[in-house]
Amino acid sequence: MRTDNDITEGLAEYFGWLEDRQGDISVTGLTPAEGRAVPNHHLRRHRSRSLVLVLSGALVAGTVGAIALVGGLGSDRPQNETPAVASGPELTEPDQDLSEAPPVESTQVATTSVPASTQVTEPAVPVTTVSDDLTVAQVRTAQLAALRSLQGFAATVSRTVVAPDGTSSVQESRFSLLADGSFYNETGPGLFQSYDASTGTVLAAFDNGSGGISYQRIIGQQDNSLPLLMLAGYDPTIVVQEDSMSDQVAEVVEYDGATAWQVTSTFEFKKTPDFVSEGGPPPDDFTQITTQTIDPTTGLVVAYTVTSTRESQQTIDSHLVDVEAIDTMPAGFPGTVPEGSPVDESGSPTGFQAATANDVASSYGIPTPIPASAGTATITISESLTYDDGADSRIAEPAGTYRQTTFTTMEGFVKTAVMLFTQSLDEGHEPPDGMASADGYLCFDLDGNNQCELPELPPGDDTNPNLFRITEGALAGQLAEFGGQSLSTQLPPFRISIQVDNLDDAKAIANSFNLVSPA
Amino acid sequence: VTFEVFVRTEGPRLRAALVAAFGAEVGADAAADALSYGWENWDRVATMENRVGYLFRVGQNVGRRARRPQRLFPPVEDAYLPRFEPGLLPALAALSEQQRIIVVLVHGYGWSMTDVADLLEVSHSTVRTHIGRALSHLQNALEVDANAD
Repeated sequence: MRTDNDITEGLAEYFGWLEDRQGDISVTGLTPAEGRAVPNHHLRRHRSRSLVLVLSGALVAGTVGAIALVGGLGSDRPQNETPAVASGPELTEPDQDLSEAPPVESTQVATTSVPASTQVTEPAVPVTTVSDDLTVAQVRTAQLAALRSLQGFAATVSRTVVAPDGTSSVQESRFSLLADGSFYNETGPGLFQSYDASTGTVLAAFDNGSGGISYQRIIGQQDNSLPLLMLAGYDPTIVVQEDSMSDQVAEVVEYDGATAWQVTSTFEFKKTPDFVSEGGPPPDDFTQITTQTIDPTTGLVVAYTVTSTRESQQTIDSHLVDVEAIDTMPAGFPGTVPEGSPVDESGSPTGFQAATANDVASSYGIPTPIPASAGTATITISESLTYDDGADSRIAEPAGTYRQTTFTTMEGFVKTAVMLFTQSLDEGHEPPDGMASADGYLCFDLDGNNQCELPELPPGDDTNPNLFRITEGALAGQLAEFGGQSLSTQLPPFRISIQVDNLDDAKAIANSFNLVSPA
Repeated sequence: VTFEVFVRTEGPRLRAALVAAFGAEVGADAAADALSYGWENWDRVATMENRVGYLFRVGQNVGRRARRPQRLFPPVEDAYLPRFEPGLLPALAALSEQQRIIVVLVHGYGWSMTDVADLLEVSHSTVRTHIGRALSHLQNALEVDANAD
């Protein structure tokens, strides 16, 4: 007689054996940063639909153009052939009164070349450890509280990037950011980047390298990540979190003359299982260290550094100084395109749609669970029609549409998101194993009887406080589970995820759903 | 996270999940195709919260269109696993795709149920329910007495 254990041990033995037998995943030249090298024979040809990529590249060009303008360099000069400058930029004195911030301006202060041996440099703003009696969870909780009461800020970001070849560039630029996501940055006379959250529009005016200014607009962009990350190299409002993949240390430090919290995350990559680049040696182990320094007053990550022992990895060192609270955007926002100037809109994504709650129900065509917060939320519908039907006949259009609707509400800079997920099935196609189809949507079919079914409450789990039944609203009676920073439940064919930091808030949202019929 | 780091840290998980779904051969190919898709679209995929889950769906799409091989899982040579019950492999192949993914990832590859729930974007309870039913099917197929000491 065999027992359950025999089965589970057999599975472990077999798949351990199979994994050893299958060996490594072979990848070659998978380094987009180095210019989309040719993949190996495993990598199929696809017709690219990455529309955002088109504009992203153009905005990179805009940033490079701004460097050339202020630094007085020829726009056709390769980035690595920059002149040597003995000293770096002069930054704000650490004890300067934050209330006496200079006028909003944008400057590109220097582009320098440094020897490879000095790639890891001292921080531009001194950081001194005061205490290490702190946890990442404590920092996270306090940071969230501070960010909730922050409505907007302006700051000067100083960003040093050291490329693998040893060259470095230092960019210093002032930008403004509101809690709704609106972003504005001027990079020189007539040059700017902005994101208008009220319209979901990214607008950029950049040096085109021929002495003129080019304009680009993305309509329907769901967030400010494109211009913000390109400028600062990181999102200053990101909330630190525990990372099981890294060793983390939380400390109280002195930063820019004031007390701050610092979280240092050390990620060590070991080449096990080994990944072999075709025709070349396996990559070496490497260690990557990321530090985030948080201002306790605002909750902002005022310093962000990434260093790595890996030769091909960029070193990033970004700092915020002259931080001031604001609640409206500067006068120039969102930037002006001169009448008659051509505007490139080729990068506008088509996958995201701003929507109202009624639009959501209509888009599904069936009664749809919608949270009460929908009235004040930013709603986006994303449809993942991302597979291509190019040369490889095995990759074809999906037999349906994967749709994600996100309701986003902000409290200061803290985001709560409610997401609905569905997978529709086109007419004439059969649902895959383990699933059934209802009203054209796929749902789980645990019994194989072509009926949508819900998971059962496992025996013995009724004492788990994170596993409960929703008591009110359209989801009443559904089983829900909270873990990490999200609650998951379902109302077939909808799978629902509520991204929020604590169980009480998650329950309140779960109990607030209404079932809205399509118009 | 660069794509290269993603492949090194998450690639094995993606392949394991697709092998669980479609077997050793089709699953490995589907993983390569999904990674290829991820490579070409990394600018967008990198911003996603659940990158492995997304590329898993890409791989599922590939795997479901592939010709189903006669055997999902290659047999084991006796010399390697002499005590292994060979009837487990066809029994595993007979499970529904969802049940097979979950039971293989949890008991074959040692994933936590939370990891599997995150991958499939389902609740912990769904994973537990699938595991219970999958084991029950395997027991029946192997005529295993679950109550045996």
